[in-house]
Amino acid sequence: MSKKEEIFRILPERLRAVIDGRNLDFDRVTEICIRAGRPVCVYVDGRELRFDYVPGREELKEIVNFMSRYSPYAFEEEMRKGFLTIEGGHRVGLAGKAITEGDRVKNIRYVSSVHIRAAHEVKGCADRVFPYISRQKEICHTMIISPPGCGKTTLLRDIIRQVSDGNAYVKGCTVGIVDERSEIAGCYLGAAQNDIGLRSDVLDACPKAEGMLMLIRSMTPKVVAADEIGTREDVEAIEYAMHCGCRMIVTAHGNSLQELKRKPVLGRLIQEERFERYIVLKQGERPGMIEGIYDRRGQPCY
Amino acid sequence: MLLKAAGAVLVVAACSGLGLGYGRSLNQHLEELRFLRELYRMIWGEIEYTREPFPEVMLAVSSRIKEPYASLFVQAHRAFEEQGSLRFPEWFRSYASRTLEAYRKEKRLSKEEWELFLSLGSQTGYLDLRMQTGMLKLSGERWESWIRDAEEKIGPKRRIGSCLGVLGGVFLTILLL
Repeated sequence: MSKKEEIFRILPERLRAVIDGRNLDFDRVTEICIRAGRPVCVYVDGRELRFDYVPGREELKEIVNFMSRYSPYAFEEEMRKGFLTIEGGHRVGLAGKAITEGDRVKNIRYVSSVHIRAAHEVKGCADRVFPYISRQKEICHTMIISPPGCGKTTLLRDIIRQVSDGNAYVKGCTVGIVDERSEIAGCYLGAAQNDIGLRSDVLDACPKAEGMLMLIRSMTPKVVAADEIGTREDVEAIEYAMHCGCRMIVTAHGNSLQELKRKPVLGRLIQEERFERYIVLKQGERPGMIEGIYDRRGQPCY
Repeated sequence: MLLKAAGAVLVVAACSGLGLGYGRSLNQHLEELRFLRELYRMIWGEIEYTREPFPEVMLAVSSRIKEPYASLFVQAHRAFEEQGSLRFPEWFRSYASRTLEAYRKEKRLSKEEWELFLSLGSQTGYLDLRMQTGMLKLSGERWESWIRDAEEKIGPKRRIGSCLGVLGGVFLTILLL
């Protein structure tokens, strides 16, 4: 099924016809924003295209029903977090009135905005980093650092795929992925929609720290991967995984290695030189631009 | 004389058979109501414990139920797979009423009872699990009340049916003689 078909499956007929009328190249579509009472916006290569069509609340309700297959209750946990992954690994963000229970958001009702972020795998984007993050056919403990939207998850996904399949730099091995936000594998009903390699096992929508321990105990991965680490529990789980002999590939939000060093939780990991390589991405014309690759002491090696 | 006697026996037997047939159809109706109650319980239980989306629940339930409901549920799952933007309530109502109408008549399900079954599609789409299962439970209770009602009435109705059958046969025989 093409990307267009996958996205169109959750759109009401009229909306589909309107978007289809422009003959867009769906491979370049990055996001579709649908807001009740506002014109529909489609982003193509980051450029905004506005449509004359104004959807109503009913249409947004229909989208929620289509993407949950008339079973919003089955996606309560995802909706509580504000997004849902659909077939093809596309992420659908939701906004509306939050239903709270105590201090906790329980669900979202009166959905007023739906943002569909098209999944985009960039196979081969990790090719140029492999010479620096591998040693003796094994992957080094690696942390990818970048501000949001710079392509760290895309890079992580391609590293995972290549480590799992094996390439000229690393021997293929089992990879355990803890995908708390369903962004790496883009799981839909438990099945990975993105290519994450032959030997990868995914724990979808599972808290990172708990998931890492579960994977180590049950799946004996050689490499453990997680996205956007940051809490004390995450750091403790990483240390435990490293003690168990697993190689770690993780990502973290940050502008530079120095900035991360100053952070209380992640800073300790860096100061203790737990990671052997740091890939820092920078904001540029396009995502995935590498600012530098550093060794455990912070010395550049790229 | 022998011919008349044989004819009389045949007429009485046929009319009694009609009466018994009526009683059996009442039994079938009651069995069907009990089955539909079980069906709702199965769906409710499957949602409650697996929290799977509705199409998956229908597929899981289809392997444990009789025809033609099993085929209907498999077809519903297939429709979801084939058409992403499927308007399920409308689809379910139209498909079930189109394909199961003869079966409904055979099982003597009333319009009201059948309406409840056809509304299964529109009983989906609730935001939280409690609401969704609560809705199905409510329908289950309606089946329950119809079953109680049918159970109360089936005994006398069956007896009346059988008696009327025999008496009708006798009356017809007298008339014909």
